[in-house]
Amino acid sequence: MGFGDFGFAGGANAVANAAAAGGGKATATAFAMGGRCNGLCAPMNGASATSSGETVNGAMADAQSIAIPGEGSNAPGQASSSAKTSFAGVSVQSSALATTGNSQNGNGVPPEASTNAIAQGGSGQAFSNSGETAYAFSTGLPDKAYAATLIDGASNVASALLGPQDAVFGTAVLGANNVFVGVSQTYSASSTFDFGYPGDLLLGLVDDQVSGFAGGQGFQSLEFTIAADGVEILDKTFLNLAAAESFFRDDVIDLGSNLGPDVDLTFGTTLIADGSGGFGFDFALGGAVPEPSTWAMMLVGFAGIGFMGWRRKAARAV
Amino acid sequence: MKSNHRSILTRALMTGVASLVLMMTGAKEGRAESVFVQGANGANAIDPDLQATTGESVGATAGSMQPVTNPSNSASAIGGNGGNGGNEVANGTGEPGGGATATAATTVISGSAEADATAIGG
Repeated sequence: MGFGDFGFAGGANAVANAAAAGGGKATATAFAMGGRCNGLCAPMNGASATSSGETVNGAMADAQSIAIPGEGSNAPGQASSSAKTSFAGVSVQSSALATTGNSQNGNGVPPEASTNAIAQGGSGQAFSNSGETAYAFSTGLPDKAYAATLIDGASNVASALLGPQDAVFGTAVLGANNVFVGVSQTYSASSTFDFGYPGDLLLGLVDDQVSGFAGGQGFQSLEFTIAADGVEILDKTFLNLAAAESFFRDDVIDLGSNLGPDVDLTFGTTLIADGSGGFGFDFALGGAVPEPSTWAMMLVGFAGIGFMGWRRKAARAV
Repeated sequence: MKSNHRSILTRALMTGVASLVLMMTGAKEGRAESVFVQGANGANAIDPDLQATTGESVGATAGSMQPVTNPSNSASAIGGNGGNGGNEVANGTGEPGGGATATAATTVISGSAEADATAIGG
């Protein structure tokens, strides 16, 4: 604590990394709190908390960070978390980043930045507001039951992705909450999926969840981006709450068939708010997977084309 | 089974067992590690002619990203409070409290991995 007539205070930096290479769960938690400042403060009592977790075999990787700048601080707090798991030729990663302003500009209470990133395979997280200032929960190759539960009620998405010949490659819950009133705060969350698929990819925007932001007050903007191999292919910014709610509710976007066969997609969101409230949404990524008989027909077709080409070439040679 | 077949089978088995033993002995044994560090407080300047001193900055590191065999390995690092900034009574400026850095890392080759890091500035 930086007591004294003009006492300064020290900053705090916490880093936690956990990796489970044998199929178990990985949990990383980081907590950082800057020292309290009494009087004038130098920008040195900020707080930074970084956590990362990584697993294999689709086991849950869970990373949580909390950063609280020191009371009276004029330095920000930053929390960031990332989680990754790989299995069966699929890699899924979640990232969350929250940066708060400093308490001198707000209501005197140190703002807290908290992040939670979870990556796993099979069964994932429920669609609910986890309460962190930024959160990202991604699931690779979700099992049928989990995908059905998550998509439940979104009829357009269900008919596009839950048919007998459809496969869901990934799902995610992304969102952010702001409790700091008066000063703009920025929160980001993203999900990245790497997998092999040569066909037409469909993005099902399932639903949104809003807390606070009464009458849209305090909501400044929400940006939603999609990047393929690091190149942005979609960027939408909503300047009012109603537009954002409408966009994420039971809609299907055709991403096309030219993103594969090695698909690398990152879905990101950034919430900027100066009032109390939260916004989150969930989505599913999938496409039609041909049945074995369809694959066999395609192979016969390709073989036939090849044979005809060979015959033509042979005839020309004679 | 002919004796030369048995010999080949035995050798193959022994090679497999030897590889397994080498792998197991090559992996590092791990155990939970917990580190706590507390920084010293800075001195107050009770005489206006004297300078206050800063709180002590500290760092705590627990575990590493080297693979370990303990399935329940848990690393936890607590960065200590930095010391109080000095308090100059007359027209002086207090000195900074100490910073705190905590780093925890765990990598396991079987079972679950857990790493916790806590840092509180002075």
